[in-house]
Parts: sequence; structure tokens; C-alpha cells
Amino acid sequence: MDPKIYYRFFRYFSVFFVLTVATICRADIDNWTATWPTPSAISQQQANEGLAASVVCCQQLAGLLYQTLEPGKQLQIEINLDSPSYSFESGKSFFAAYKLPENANSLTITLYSIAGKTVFKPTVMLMDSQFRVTRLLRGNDFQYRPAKGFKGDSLDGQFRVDRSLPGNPLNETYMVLYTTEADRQGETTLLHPAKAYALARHNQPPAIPDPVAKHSAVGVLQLRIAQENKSFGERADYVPPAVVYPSAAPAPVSTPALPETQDYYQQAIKQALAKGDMAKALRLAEEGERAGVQGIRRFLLERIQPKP
Amino acid sequence: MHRDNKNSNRSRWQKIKNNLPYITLICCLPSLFSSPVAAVDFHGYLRSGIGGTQGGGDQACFRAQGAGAKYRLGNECETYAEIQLGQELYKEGEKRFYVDSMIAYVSNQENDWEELTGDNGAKSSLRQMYVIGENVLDSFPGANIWAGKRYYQRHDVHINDYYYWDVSGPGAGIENIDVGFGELSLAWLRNTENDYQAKGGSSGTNVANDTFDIRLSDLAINENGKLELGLDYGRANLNTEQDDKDFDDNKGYLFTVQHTQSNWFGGYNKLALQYATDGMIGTGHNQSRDTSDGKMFRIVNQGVIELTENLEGMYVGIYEKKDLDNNQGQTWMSAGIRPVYKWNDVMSTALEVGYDRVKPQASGAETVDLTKVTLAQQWSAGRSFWARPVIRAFATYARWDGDDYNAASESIETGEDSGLTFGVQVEAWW
Repeated sequence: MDPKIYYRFFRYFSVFFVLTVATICRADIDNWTATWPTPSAISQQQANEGLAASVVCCQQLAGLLYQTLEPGKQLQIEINLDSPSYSFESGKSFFAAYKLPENANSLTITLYSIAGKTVFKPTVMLMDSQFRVTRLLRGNDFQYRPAKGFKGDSLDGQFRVDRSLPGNPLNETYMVLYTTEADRQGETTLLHPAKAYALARHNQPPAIPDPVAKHSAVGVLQLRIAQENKSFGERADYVPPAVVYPSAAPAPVSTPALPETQDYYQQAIKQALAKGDMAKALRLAEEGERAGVQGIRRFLLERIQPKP
Repeated sequence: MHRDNKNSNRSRWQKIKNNLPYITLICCLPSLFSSPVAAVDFHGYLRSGIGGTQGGGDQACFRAQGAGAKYRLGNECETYAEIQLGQELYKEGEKRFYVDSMIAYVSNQENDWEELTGDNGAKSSLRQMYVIGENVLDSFPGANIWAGKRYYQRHDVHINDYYYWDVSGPGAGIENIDVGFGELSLAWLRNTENDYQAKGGSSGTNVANDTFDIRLSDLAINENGKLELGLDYGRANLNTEQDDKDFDDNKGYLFTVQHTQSNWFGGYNKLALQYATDGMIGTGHNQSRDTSDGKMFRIVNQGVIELTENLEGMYVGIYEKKDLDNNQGQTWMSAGIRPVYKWNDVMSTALEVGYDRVKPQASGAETVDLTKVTLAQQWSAGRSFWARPVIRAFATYARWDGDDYNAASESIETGEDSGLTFGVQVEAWW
């Protein structure tokens, strides 16, 4: 075959190839941008004013609106001026709250707080099923990692949530992302991209200052939640959960029952005892306790104790 | 029971042993994906791709004869990679030792299997292997001592890949001594000329050239401006035999004054003035063999500016005059711009226009010039001018005077005055 035909074919093919690649890539742009979020465009001052003006959503941690999280998902979280706020011990803050998957294997959660002109310096509060705080991740748990490859500038942190005892009420079940008043005063110095280039090529970085991201009350975060795909028995690297319960409060006291309810249970227990149905009396006492009837167990014990 | 435990432990160990290669691989993987804590620092650079020339054939690359550099966008014909692995060896308080290494690879990107034997331009090179001790001298807090092969404080122009101050090589030194108004760095570095033949000598010997480098950097002289002063003294380090045979031992000086202005149209500007004599005419290393006595003056002005949120670009202007006693000098002038318009966070269009002109010192010799224009559509991770990795589809047009020389590396016949190439290239650093 005449090589010229081949060249001509190659020439047209190359142009066609470049155009095709360009077209496909253009169509795929939205997917590409979705992989790494854009930092928040709200200025630090706007965010502070917005926070001051916002109305606190709830009085108790149990009252926050918890969104469900699914394992294996990558989630873009935008904490903005419309987000709910809450008065945490460390100060008022916008927050995002999640309920972690309960019937899953243990989870590895990676959080990237996207840095631009501002950045959201995160605090992660983890709570058990009774809303008792188990861990507070903050400060150095989230560290600045310069842009690298497809990852942009961000404050990164990673932690593990243990699920080796399914159904344990002490399992960490709720997660709240917020920031503290002290953190909002600070700033993070980023690496100038021209210097990142110089470091990668081992050149002398230009003598210019680095950009600074002011810590803001709002921000954009990316959350990746991965489920360990090995069963408990297969895992040789099992580490017991590093969970302490410093502020473990006593089990919540339910509101006292109405006097009518109290009367009802007392009468029912009396009747059961009169019939000699001990099992029923015991069940009634337990049920009454759950319903908030005060002293119903003592009521039963007094009636079955042999009199001296 | 006890025995069973032992057995199961042993079989578990066997399992681990059998899977050791995979375990190693899995352990190494996170370091590639910027995990929060990485034991080994992995840095690197690569460029590669495919291209063709109008009229048929492999991609041609264009460079003006005698020019110190060529504009690189859509004008690079090889695959080049640098793999750097570094690790902290020791840390106590502020004292720290760090080992760094780099292997570089280059090939003509012609085949799948390109053996790095040196044939067809496929080579590998041991470019860095050094240890740096930070804060280890109590008398110089903040200063670093280092020894080994190293890229030493190199200064480049990105868009034409031109390194105007580069004394890299085997060496040793002390860096960043705080002198109150700036930082002082001292280094001793080496380059060697191979198979040097003395006058009338039959076999060649290697001549070691030494460069002594002194830099005073980080001098604040104006608002947002920093000044750096550099002095390089180079000389041949002859042995007794070479001395007896009267080898040339060219020596020379290279003076550098460099000013960096930040807060400059959303970016920065960097101006370097250099003056060199005799053996040090060049970019930092002493040459005993090839250069005649003479002098050189060079200006390099470059910058990256962000005119609007969507328009960022780099510019450079170079003037270099080599005035040699043997009349073989030249004047090289170069100017180039690469504006990049960003359509969104991922896609941008880059235009690069570069012009080079080389005027030989000898009277009667022809002045040559070359204009290169490239249009590229780019997809990159992020919107900064420096965002990488980037994949670009490009078309390049170059024009020169074919009566004087052929500016193309291949696929263009001698006598032609212009060339058009196109292709796709990837560039990444991390």
C-alpha cells in the first residue's frame, strides 16, 4: 500500500480523534467538577454576620435534625448561611448533623474541608445512641494538606467508627460537624501553587508570600464514608475502639407518669398478686417502670416480701 | 489448647508471608493518594503524549538554532519523568535529618517497550541522592547542612523550560544561615568534563570543575519585594598530570542579582540580571574545554499574572549577550507569553506565542529567528495556571527561514520554512 494513503488516513484520524476527545470531555465536565468541590464564595465577614443573625434551631443535641448517611457514599456538604445553628459549649455555630449507619461494618470516615479564600475549620462531635458525647475531633485532627494530584487545598482528617458490637447502644451513632468560636478567629496558610510546582521540580520557590484562608463560619466539605469490607473474624488488624466516655451521663429519666397511670399499674399488680400470678405482676412492674411510674418496683417488692 | 494456638499462629504467619508482596503494595498505595500521614514522601514529574506533523510523520519540535531554550507548549517530543522518594530519618525537637532521592527517565515516546539503555535517546539518570540536616548546628539555628547529589536552588522559566541559574550536581553546603537582614547559603558543587584531551595527548582524562556558590537571599528591599544576590566562582580542579600537560583550566565568575515582586497584578514578577566571565559563561557550571574567554550578560524577566478571575498567564523576556574572544559568541533574544482562559474549574484554553532570535557574534554569519504559536485546549485538576495534572490537545505552528537551517527535530524536510504539528500531551507534578 502506498504509505501516503496511510499518512493521509492518520492525519484525518488524528484530527477526528482530537475533536472526539474534546467533545466527550466537554460533555463530561460536570462530572469532573463534581469530584472536587469549589470552595465557599462567602466572605468571612458575611459568614460571621449571618451566624450572629441566625436563630438557634434547638435547645438539645437530641433535637437536631439528623440526616441519614449511607456507607460507600461520597457526600458534598455545604454549610452555608441557611444551615441550622446551635449553641455549642464552644460557641454558636452553623452545623450539619448525620445519623451514621447502624447495621454496617466498621466505618472509615474521611473529611476534607475545602480551602479557598476561606475555610471551615471543622470540629466533629460523635455521640452514642443516647446522644452522649463519645469523641470530639478538632484542632490537629484536621491538618492542612496542600493540593496534590486531583485533590485541592483542604484541611483533612480521618477517623474510624467501630461497629464490631452490632446493636450496642454505646456505638457511635450521631455525628455533628461544626466549628468553634476560637477556631473562627484563626487562619490557615496555604501553599502557593507556584511554590508547589517549585517543590515538585525541586526548584527554588519564588520569594513570594503564601495565600491565607481565613477560618469562616461557613464552608464546603467533602465526606467519604467507607465500610470495611471484611468480617470481624477476618480482620487481623483489629484495634478496639479508642472511645472514652468522659461525659457519659446517666440514662435519660423519662417524664413521670400521670397519677391515673400509677393507679392503674398498682391495681393491676395487686390483682395479679391476689391471683398468685407472680410472672404477670413482674411484667406489669417492668412495663410500669418504662412508662415512668415512680416506685412501682418498690410497690411490688413490698407486697411480695415475707412479713417479719 | 496451647499447641493449637501455636499452630494457628504459625499458619497465620505463613499466610502473611505468602501475601507479603501484596501487603507491601497495599501499604504503599495510600502514600500515592495523599493520605493524611505518609511515611514516605512521594514527589515527581512527568510529561508524555502523542503527536503528528502535517504532511505525515512523528511530531516535530521546533527550536531556533543556538537558542538556549524553546517554548514548550505543544512543542515537546519526548517522555520525561522524575521519581522522587524522600523520608524523614530522625527528628528530635527542631533537629531533623531527611533523605531525598530522584531518578529521571527520558525516552523518545516511540514504542511501548523502550529500554533505558541510552540507544534511541532512552536513558535514566541518577539525579539526586542527598541527606539534609535541619537545625543540627547549635551555632546556626534555622540553618541546614547537606551533602550528596542535589538539585541546588535552581531557578527556571516555566514556559520555555529554561534554567538560567542551575549549579546542580554532587556537592555539600550549608543553607539558610540567618544573618539578620537575610539568609546566607554556601555550597561547593561539581561538574566534570569527560575525555578531555590535552594538546598532543592521545587519550582523554576527566577534568573536574568546581563551583563555589554564595547566595544572600530574602533581602526585603521594597514593599512585597525580595532581593537575592549570588556569586559563583568556578575553576578546573586539575591533577598533577593534567597540570604538567598544561590543560586549560578556564575559571570564571557568575554574578546574579534577582528581584521578586509579589502582589503584582494578582501574581508576581521575577527579574534576574547576570554577568559572567570566561569559564562561567553559561548557567552556573564552569566549562574548561568548550568556552573561550569572554564575558556574558543576561537579563531574564518573567512573571505570572491574573488579570481577571478567568484570565491568567505567564510572560517572559530574555536577553543574553555572549561576547567571546574567539568570536564565537552570540546574542539571544527571546520573548513569550502564555495566556490561559479558564472556561470553568477544569477546562481552559491556552495560547502560547514565542519568538526567538539568535545573532552570531561573527560578522557575516546569518541571524536566525523562529516564531512558534500554539493553541491548546486543556483539562486540568483545578483552575490555577499551575494546576496539574493537565491533559491538553494542541496544534502548533512554527515559522523560520529554511534557507539558513532546519528548526524542526524531525518530519520536516530541509529547506522548508514552516511546520504544523498537533497532538495530545499530559503534564503532571505532585
